[in-house]
Amino acid sequence: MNDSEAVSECQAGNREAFRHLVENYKDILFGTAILMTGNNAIAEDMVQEAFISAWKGINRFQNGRPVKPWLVKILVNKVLSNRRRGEPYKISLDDNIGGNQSGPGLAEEFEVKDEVGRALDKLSEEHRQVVILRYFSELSLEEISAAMGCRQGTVKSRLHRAQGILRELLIEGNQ
Amino acid sequence: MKDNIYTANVEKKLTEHFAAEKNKLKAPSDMWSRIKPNLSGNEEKWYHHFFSRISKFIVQRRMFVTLAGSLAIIVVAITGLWIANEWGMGIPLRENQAGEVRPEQFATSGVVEGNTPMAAVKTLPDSDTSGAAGKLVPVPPLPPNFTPTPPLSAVAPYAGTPGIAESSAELGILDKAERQIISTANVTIEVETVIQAVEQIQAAVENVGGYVEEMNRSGEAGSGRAGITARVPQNRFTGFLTSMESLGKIVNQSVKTDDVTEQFIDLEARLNNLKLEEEHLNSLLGTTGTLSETLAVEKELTRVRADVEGTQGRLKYLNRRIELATIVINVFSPGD
Repeated sequence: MNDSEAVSECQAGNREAFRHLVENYKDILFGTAILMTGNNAIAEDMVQEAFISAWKGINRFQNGRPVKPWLVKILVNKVLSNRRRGEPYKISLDDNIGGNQSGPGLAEEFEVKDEVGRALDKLSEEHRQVVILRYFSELSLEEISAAMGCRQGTVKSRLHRAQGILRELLIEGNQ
Repeated sequence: MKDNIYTANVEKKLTEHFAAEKNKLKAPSDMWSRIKPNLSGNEEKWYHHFFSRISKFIVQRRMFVTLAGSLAIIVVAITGLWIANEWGMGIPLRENQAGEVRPEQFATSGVVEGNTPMAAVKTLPDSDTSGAAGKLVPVPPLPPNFTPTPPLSAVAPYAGTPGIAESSAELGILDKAERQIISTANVTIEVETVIQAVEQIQAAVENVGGYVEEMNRSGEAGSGRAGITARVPQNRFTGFLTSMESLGKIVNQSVKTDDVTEQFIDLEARLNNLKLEEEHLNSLLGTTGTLSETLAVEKELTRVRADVEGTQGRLKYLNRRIELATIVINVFSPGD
């Protein structure tokens, strides 16, 4: 079953077909959420809420269009709404990045955090979001603009600015 | 060139970094089992979609300012319309000399402009003794020789003035000579001898065809002060005022003019219509059958005649004020 067939089934009311979409995109959504929020528990909640919203609104989705940008957009809206409500999302040393997976804890993760991770932490929130959506979620500028609710030119300038800052931090700073 | 290399290096580092993140950041394996129980029916109401699209459009286009501006304009427009309505700016009204406010389109007591005949019913006054007070009684149709009330533009103008404008707008373009003006002036003159100045003023008033309406004097002969109210023809008003300068030193002088053209036209038109109504009621007197009808017509006739006389009186008063300008002259001697 491909995405298009799954969407058609979902639009017909088949819940099991929605599992295909959840399994296919849960990792990319979770990764995006945790990079944006920095909190494992909040990221899980955001992803669940995003999938539930997607199910509720799947009848409005134009089948044939890529599913990932649509889901990421829903997720970003959830994260930004959550932030506007003032709920905490900042990273905590007690949180365990990676959730239930077997892997290093946060403290260990920070120790091994590469220079790119440290440089990303120094970006402003807006710049970091654009970089995450561009390089992690692999969205186009147009898709990022739709997801963040801003103009494409704004996304482009933020990305350019973020790249400039990262260049200073990663390359020129090492020289 | 160097910038491009640096940017390419940054992009490469970011791609590698996030590829590694993708391998580490995995969603919980039981995600589906958590979500599944929450998947209820996905039927949404149409208005959810509608309002969602509108709100997103506003947010995306940053239309808050435009929206606020539009709302402000709507509020101002509604307030303006309300004020215009409250002040009666929607219907042009005219106020005649008697202080009555009535619509621009002239119509009175069942007689209207054009060829429309008198109204077929009329309300009897409360004083009617026939017991029909306040009720509508039938009025016989107009006689065949009845001439409808002419439009205002055709009403005979005062003092042979050719053509009187029908509306206030047209009044604005009336020639100065066609306007009905009431002129008044007040002059205070310092003279050497008061008694001599008074005599000169009286002679000057008679010379221009006017008369002294009022005169009072105080103090000794040759000194003291005097006040004279003179009425002089409108066309000699300016010349008379100029001649006063020869009496002595003008201490104070003020001139005021009131344009009463509109009041004048109103009164004339009202009088014409009242006369037509009077004629019609007179003709009805001979044709009415029952006593109550006759009494009703007579009462209406009495009212119309009183109105005719009142209007004629006001017109006469206005005419006098227009024809003869009023000049109040105060003279005094400096030795006083």
